[in-house]
Amino acid sequence: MSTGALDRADPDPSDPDRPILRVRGLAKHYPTGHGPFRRRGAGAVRAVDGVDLELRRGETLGLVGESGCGKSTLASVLMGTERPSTGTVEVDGQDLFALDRRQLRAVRRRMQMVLQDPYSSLDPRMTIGRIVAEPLVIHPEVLPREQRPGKVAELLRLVGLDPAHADRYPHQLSGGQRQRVGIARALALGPELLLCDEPVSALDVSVQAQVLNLLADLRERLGLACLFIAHDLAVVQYLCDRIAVMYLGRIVETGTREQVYASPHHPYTRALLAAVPVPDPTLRGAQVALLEGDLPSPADPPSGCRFRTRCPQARERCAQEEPALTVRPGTDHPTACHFPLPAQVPPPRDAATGKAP
Amino acid sequence: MTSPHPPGPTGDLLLPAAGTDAPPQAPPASLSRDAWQQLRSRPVVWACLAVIALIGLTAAAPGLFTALLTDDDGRCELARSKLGPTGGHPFGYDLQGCDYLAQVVRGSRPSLLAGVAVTAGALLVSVVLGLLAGFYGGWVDSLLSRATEVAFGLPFVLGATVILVAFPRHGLGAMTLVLVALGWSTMTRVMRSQVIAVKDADYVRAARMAGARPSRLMLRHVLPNAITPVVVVAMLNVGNVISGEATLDFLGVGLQYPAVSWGLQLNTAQTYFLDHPHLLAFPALFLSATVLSFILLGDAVRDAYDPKLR
Repeated sequence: MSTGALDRADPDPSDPDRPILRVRGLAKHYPTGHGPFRRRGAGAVRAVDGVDLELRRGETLGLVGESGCGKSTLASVLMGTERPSTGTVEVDGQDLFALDRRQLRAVRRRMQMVLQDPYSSLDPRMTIGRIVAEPLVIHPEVLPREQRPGKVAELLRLVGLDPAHADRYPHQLSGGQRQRVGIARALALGPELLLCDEPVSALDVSVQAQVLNLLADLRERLGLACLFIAHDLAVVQYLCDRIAVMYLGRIVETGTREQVYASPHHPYTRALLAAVPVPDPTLRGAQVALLEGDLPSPADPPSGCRFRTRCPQARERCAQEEPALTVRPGTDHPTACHFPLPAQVPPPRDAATGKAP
Repeated sequence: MTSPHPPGPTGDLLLPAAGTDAPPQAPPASLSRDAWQQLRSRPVVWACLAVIALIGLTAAAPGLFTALLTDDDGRCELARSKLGPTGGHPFGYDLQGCDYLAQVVRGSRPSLLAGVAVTAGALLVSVVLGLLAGFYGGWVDSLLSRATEVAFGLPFVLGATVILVAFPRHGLGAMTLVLVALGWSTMTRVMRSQVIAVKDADYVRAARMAGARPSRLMLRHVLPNAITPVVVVAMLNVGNVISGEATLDFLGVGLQYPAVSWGLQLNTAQTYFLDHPHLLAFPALFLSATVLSFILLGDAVRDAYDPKLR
């Protein structure tokens, strides 16, 4: 299998190409109901329900899905701020939730996150310089105290800000500048893995491109592995090497960017791609089947295939048997669908460039 | 980060510096700055500050006022008991024939001390408890919240009366402790709700993900962003404590003779005020002016700090 997404072989510590992040069977359930008399097994919101992911050094994986599918919960668990209900998260071979406090701090230095909303992610009572320096203060072993101001200036320059901004407060900056500060903070400890949780969705469209270019540039320059969470497929197509499509807490399709965009096999992926606006008016007009209905409740997911309630081609088998994420005959990358769409159906137009794939 | 940064060590990570932005702008706008701008433009704020400053000065240096404003030589003559205002003695004389202005001026110290000390103590207690309850949640929160509710149910003056009657030989320090014990609950509730509102903010999450310990999250991020409303409530509280202290003195369970306080003077005056109204009028005037100033000032500060009331 070319993607390696389901590669179950144990990582060899000497392997230079072993994954920096490996997620296996990850689930996060939030119990419903409160109090000491809560019935056991009374129910739970299955925000993330059995996710496998793998991310290699220097690689960018795009995680897409509509709102409420569990993308951000997954990010919280990956960053270790929430414990998973089941499953493991391994960073460079170390299980994140088996580490003691000191080891966890060391691992945290290697993975950092860029948050979605640049307006709420910076402490309004701290200057930009203190915000960017904070990870260095928390991890004093990384850099001697007297070198911190220099490092902050270097980081601000790295993300395209004037080091003089260090004395300003967040509310004096624009949204794009604030998100650059958020990126500088995430880079302060020199991480190998960057989690980006919809880093541009709160920004003005004109600024989105600048921040995306900055992220692409930094990724090249610093050799970062990137997990890029988004609901905008055009953004993902621009940045990512591989793509994983998430629906209601599960990965339904994964493959390289070319595979997923050129021949989406899962009806959900097909519908997502069809929903991307086509910039060229001459190419518009072909009716595409858009999704109907809302995302089912993750507290009570449908039996069998979770997508069947909205799937245009659901059959009886879909309600009874849960499809596994594997490569099926006639497909070239893993999908979780009993009846994957064949590759020869004309795929939707390439959204970012406007050219047909 | 107030010092200008030296140029960083040029690493290979460096991008060329972005086009230099506009030079540092006008002073930064912030909530406190806006609030101060608004407060500064209101005459009532200045009037309240003037009254509080004056009363504060009388509490700090009563001798200054007695020397300037009266011919008081410190001696009391029963022959002059309850005499009204005269030339050298603008407030007249009290029951013992002492200069009444000197007595009223000396009465400001326990009132102000109690108001400020009780509020400061209650603020400290409520910030610590509110921070712990709001930040940790769970059983810590349940325990502290139930305790707060119990304390909230105790009536302020009646509760203090009961406790102080049980321990008759008390001074201002003991009274302060009792009033703190009865007065921390409101501020704790405000603090707790603020902490809950702030603790899940993205900037706290960001610091947590960077590996910050709970102490750092609480002191560096949650506390500075949650404390403003509590401080405002505390300012409003000063006036309430001063009137509460005076009430306890008046009821005879607070400070006892020979201590001097406005509440005690009012207590004495109640028997004679039909014939000698000056005994009631002067301490009542001082007490009302002080309490009113603190409450109006607290109101103004609350308005200035609440963006929703703008």
